[in-house]
Amino acid sequence: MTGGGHGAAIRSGERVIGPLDGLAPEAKLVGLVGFLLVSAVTPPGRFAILAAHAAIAAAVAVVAAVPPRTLARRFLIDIPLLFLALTYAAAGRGPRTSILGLSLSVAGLNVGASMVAKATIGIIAVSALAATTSISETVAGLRRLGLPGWFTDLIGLSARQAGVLGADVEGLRLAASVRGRGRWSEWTAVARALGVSFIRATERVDRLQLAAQARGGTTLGAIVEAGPTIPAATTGTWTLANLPAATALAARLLL
Amino acid sequence: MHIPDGWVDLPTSVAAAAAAATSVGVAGRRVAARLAERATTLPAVLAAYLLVAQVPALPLGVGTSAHLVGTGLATVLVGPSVAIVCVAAVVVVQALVLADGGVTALGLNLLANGVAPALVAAAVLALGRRRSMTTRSVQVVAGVAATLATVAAAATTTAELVIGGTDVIPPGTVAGVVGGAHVVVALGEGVLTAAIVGVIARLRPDLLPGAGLARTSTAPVGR
Repeated sequence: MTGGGHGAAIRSGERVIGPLDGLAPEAKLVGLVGFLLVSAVTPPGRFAILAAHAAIAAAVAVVAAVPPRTLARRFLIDIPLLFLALTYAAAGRGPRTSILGLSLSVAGLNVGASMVAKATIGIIAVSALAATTSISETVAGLRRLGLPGWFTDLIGLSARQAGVLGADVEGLRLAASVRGRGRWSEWTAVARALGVSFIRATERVDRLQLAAQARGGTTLGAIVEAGPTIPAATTGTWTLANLPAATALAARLLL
Repeated sequence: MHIPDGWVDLPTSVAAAAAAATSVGVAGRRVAARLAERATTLPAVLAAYLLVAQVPALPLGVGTSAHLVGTGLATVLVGPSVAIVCVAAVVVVQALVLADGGVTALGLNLLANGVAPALVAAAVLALGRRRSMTTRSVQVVAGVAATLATVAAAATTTAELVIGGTDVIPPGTVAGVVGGAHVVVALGEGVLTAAIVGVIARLRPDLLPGAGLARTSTAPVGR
């Protein structure tokens, strides 16, 4: 189940089991959103607070044993966003300052740097959740937080199917690629692989549907519930899961 | 592009989340009514397909690469309601599992990458589709739909960044940077979507029932 790029991370199993793994997923999700909200509403230019938030996220990521390579790949995906942040510094209004010979707006520089900081904090924090929470757990957590069952079923099933389809598309693309020639051969290869893969995807729908009917149901929700028992949140879990958000809030109020 | 955490202010993010949730709810009800027992399996497999379709990176020739976004393609293949529901699942998986796009920006990204492009693509298809079209015409309509869907995504992202951002730079500058970056992406999206639709139309025209393909001698393979 390797797909490279985005697809490579959609798998469970190859994880280091740490203290955050057994926690109830609904508490982790609430804790993550709380932390990110505190970070998100921090005014631009308050770099001491943002540095504290980054330190908190990094500490959780270390406890979560987030693989550095995974983190590096996710930062790479966001490099284009740096250009947008840089635009704020270059084209901002108000007084200007000179950095490395470039004339930059002070206010724009604050906004742009804060945007980069917050995006980075977000990636680290989500990576900590993703590294310690399987897709089944995330789906169960979202369900417990009140998301409609049809939607959480959809997320769970699509994440599982992505692994299967990813291997399929990679194989099809390679097969088309080695036969291709010319400037557009890569494009043609991808188009053929995705065209054929869509046809196979519709066949997968038929197979899944048949399996669901054989079990006597019309929906596939039962698969998600049937996994290993996922613990429910206790008071202790909620406290622990909201610790990063509480610390971030303290940093916001004190710094 | 996916807006990260903390780029757009809280009121705008919350309003977008409410609008996105409402849209997905409406789309979900339409999907349930239209697909009946397939209402989970078809969108789930298609959402997986979209997640996977974004992986292959294509060289653009200047050291950069592009990848398919897919909302336009999904709208061409299964209509806007299923497409919106699928992209919702995709955006949630990307935000919570792949750390791509902000968690607090989920509503913003769903509106920009799902709802707006799906509706624009559906409008293009409604205007452009005729009965008994050649495969080439079906491809052109699909390509234009996907291109304009990507333009709609870029425009919505720009609007969100401007409405929920600071006034430190003029809105035109944000539009210029986001729009300029998406011109090439939008054209690539159109070309790739047209090519994919061409492959499906050639092999299994029965899978494109609403596309307006003329019945031709190209017999479906297999059955």
